[in-house]
Amino acid sequence: MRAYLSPTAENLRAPAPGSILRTAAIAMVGFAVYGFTVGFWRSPLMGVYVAVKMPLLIALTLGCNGMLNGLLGILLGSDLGFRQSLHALLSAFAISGLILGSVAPVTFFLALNVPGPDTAQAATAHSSYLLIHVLLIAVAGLSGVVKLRRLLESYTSSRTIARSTLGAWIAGNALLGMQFSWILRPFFGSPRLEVAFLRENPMHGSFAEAVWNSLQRILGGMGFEGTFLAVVCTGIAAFVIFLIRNQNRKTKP
Amino acid sequence: MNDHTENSPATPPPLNPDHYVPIPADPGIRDLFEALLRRPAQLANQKVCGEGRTLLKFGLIAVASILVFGFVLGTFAYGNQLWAAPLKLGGGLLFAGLICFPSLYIFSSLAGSTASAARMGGLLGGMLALAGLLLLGFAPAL
Repeated sequence: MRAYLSPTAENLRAPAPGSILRTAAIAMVGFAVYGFTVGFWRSPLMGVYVAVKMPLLIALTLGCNGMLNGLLGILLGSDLGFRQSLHALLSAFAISGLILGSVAPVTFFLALNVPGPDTAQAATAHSSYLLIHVLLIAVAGLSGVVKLRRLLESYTSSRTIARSTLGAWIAGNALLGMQFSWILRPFFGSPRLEVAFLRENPMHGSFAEAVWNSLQRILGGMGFEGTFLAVVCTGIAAFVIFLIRNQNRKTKP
Repeated sequence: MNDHTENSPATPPPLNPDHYVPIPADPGIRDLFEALLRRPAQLANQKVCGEGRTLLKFGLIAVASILVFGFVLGTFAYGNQLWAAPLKLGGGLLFAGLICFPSLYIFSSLAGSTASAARMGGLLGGMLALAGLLLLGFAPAL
């Protein structure tokens, strides 16, 4: 199992189909076990649905982006072929899956202990449950990305190539993954809505639209212009901070 | 700075042979009790730490200590708490260790540990036993 947690450049050089399948199986099992505990709070049936949907989300994202990931890997000079790109990304997902699968016993009992969806505290319980899982998924995802960065840096000829490849992969997979997660909703199961594998109109709307609407609600009805201005200002501030940090790094002896 | 410290900054200083007490290959409960309190780091580095029988002994030490500590806590209320408090504490300790073990193994491996699952189980058992012994130490004061 430790080999899957710390993949090496040697494993990536000539990945056998069996090795790719094993890595995929580990990622799928990890996400399925964790997914069951995510949906279990709403109902055991929801747990089964999410246990199917979480691995499906990973499979759809990697399957649909496989061509793009392979092309970007070659285009950016990483010397990674299509199969190697798939193996590298699956390795990162396997790490995230192992982390999430390992915390599944804890999250399962968390689901049992949080006030149920039919209690008076359901809304608060749902929010805190959601936050905890978002945090766990973020930690697992970041760990996978950090390991993938190390793997690419050890495989490619330069750090710049490794980072640009990683950045391009993250951007592509995040974009598609977000939309697939929107289509495959619900995952956490709102206490006010019926348990279902998919919502009635899964294709209606988009992840970006939902984030936009949430932002407008948070910003207290600032309207389209106000929200747009807030997003642009935040983007500019983030860019300036990035530039200043880069400048400081360059001027350091 | 001499050559030794320059080349291997992470290497601990050599053990003083006068202070080094070897741990037996098949330690009894008394040996483990002593080693847990006096030389926990040395015990953790021993091969014996990853063996099933050592894990069992660690479990026995942990459960026995927690049962005594729980009984002392139970004397605050008497009645059912005399048996319920030790049972809940002992059960809770073992159960918490069991459900946290997978994440302990995965996160320690991610952090660079090379310990096998059996060894990690032994380390967790040792940690629980040490926690139990420390709580047992507080029991008379309570």
